[in-house]
Amino acid sequence: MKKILILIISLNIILADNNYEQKLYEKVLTSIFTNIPIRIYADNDTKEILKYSSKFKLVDHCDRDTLILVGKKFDNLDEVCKNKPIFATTYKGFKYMKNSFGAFYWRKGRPQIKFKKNMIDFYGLDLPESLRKYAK
Amino acid sequence: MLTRIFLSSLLAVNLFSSSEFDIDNLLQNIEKKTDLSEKTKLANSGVYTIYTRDDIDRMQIKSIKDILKLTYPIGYNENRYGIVDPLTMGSIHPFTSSQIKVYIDNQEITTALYGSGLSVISGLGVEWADHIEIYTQAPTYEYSSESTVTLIKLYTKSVIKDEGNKISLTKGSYGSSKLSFYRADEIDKWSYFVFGSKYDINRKEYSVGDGKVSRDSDLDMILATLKNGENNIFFTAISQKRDTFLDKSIDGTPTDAYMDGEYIHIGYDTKIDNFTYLISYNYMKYESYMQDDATPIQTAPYYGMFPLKSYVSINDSEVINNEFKYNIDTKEHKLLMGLKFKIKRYNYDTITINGVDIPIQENDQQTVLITFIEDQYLIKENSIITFGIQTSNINNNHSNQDDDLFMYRLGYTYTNNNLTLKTIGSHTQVALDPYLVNSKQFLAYPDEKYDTRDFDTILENIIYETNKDKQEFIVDYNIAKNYLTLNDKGKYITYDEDIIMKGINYKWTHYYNSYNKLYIDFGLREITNIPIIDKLITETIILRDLHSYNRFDFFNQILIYKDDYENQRFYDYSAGVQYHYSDDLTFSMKGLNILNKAKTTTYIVKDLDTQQPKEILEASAEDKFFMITMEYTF
Repeated sequence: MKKILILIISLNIILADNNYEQKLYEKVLTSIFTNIPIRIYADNDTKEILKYSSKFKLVDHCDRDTLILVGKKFDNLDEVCKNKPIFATTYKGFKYMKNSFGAFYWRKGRPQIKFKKNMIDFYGLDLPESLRKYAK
Repeated sequence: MLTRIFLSSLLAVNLFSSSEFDIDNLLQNIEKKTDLSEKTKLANSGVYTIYTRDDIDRMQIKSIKDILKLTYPIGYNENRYGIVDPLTMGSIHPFTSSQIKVYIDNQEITTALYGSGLSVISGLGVEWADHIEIYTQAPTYEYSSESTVTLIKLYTKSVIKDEGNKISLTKGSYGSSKLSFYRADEIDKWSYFVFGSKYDINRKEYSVGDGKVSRDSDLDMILATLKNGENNIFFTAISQKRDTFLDKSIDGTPTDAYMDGEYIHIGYDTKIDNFTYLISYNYMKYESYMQDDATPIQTAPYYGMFPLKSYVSINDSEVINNEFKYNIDTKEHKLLMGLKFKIKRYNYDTITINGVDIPIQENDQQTVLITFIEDQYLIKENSIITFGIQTSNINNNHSNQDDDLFMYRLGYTYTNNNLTLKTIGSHTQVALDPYLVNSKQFLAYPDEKYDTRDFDTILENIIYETNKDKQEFIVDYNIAKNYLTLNDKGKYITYDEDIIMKGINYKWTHYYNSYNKLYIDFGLREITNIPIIDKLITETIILRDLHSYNRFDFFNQILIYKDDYENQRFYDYSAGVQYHYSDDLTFSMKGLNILNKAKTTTYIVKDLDTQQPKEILEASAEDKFFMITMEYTF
């Protein structure tokens, strides 16, 4: 009985949160990366969205233990980070950053999720069934 | 046992609700949240309608006309020059709807002579708009300027939602074509959006007498925004060449009638803490020409000046606008104070009637100083009282037509989860537009001071929303004092009776699901004490359905109008379909006034022989028109 009540309360707390963008990142990234909390190096705009999530550990500097990068542009990365997978937050970032394997961005006024099949394979990532339709 | 069943049921409901976090649902919620965030701030702003990005796309809204004709209580109409002018009385006045203001990204698009930029953007597209807000009847002073009855606010696209490039090509009826392009990107910390369009719009020609009158136009537009944090720069330049329909021709048969116009707006606005500042500059150059086959009467009292055989007017004008706003937010009060200062300068290079240069009136400048204060007082968590006062000091040089306007607005808003109740009372005053001041051409008594037109409105707006439905009921009562009407020479006199307008509107939006929806709007309006016809009762019904199936979006809309003067029912049926061939390529087709039964306007001219008014033309502002469009995003 107590377990059910706790579960209900937890679910209600989650549902009460209207931060859909944070939920989207959680849903997508935890489906691909299972080491939770996921160590992420993010740009400033994305940090604002992800910082309250318990699923992510945001780092100030990209290092060896950082799992992925999330943002629109990453210049001057250390050598150790230059080949890490990037989840882009703009169309241009998705198109032109060579390490980008997926993205969440707005295009034609609508939010979109996209994945690059070749980069998913390159990084040996396993895209769950629910996300495969967004891959090209 | 019962407790277990209850908890198990609750868990099941919660688990079911968590489908909200499916990826597709999350994407839909993110899109809707963006639209809703715009709506939230509007709760106390008056009666408003929002056309979201999704509405603009799927209704294929191509111009301001597409939404103005749906806007209560003004609708859409065009004047004798074929230019948008919903309040026109069919006279030769170039523009009579100055109380309808237009803003793009919080900057007013205006003109010195006519007090509104509505005529400037008439016919232009809105491919650059992310969403559009229409406020009717006494909008908050925060968003408006001078004397505003209806406010159209357009917001440009930005790099956040539209990064990249888009090209759009349209071919339409009568050989019309439209080409537009935009790009949204970032340079360092600045984001920019640039848009350019070239329109060649051909419309239905009408035979009048032995000739034809045309409303064709060539319109070019450049628009650009530059943003960095709270710093916004907005620029637009518009060039227009229009055939001016009946123009000033006394019998409505000009042999040649056209105008060329150029318009530039540049503005900068910023916000530092509680302080908002805006500066903008508007410039317009306007040249109009008309030739007619009339023979001027050389004897007294006309001396060759009547009727018009030729008319040339060349003028340029500018508006410099400064705005300061300061807001103080406390737990219970949201106080906004503002100061606006406008200088309007205008210069007539030439006015030639029947080949004779007309002396130019001396007044060439109007200054407007506006102060306002508005407070939103939170009585309880869900009850707000809004109170605002606005004063305007209007000075015209070389004229006794100076006005001190005093306007106020009192509103009460109650909201709970599903219900919003708004009561708004307002008093608005409107002074003469600069082109009318001391004008011998347009005023019956150019040397006398004209009183301000006063509009008093009280309305109740009730909105009830559930997941699947939104119902809205508006009842309003309006009194217009000192309305300008026409004498037998077509010049403005002040009407000595109060015009009373009463109206009700019921609007129902039914959401079949996240995207598909049905919209019904029924409006009934009675206007009494109108000059000449005394009383008018109008009925409007709008039915609209938006549906998407796979890669197709369908749009169907009918606007039904009837008034007891014409005693005829008009049907303006529009429909469209879009096919999304891929994420980047879309083909669309749209038809306007497909049944060719849209509301018409009766144009009245004078018989050259008898000097008596005669009806010469029934023309609709909405032609039967079809277009196909290809859009490519890259």
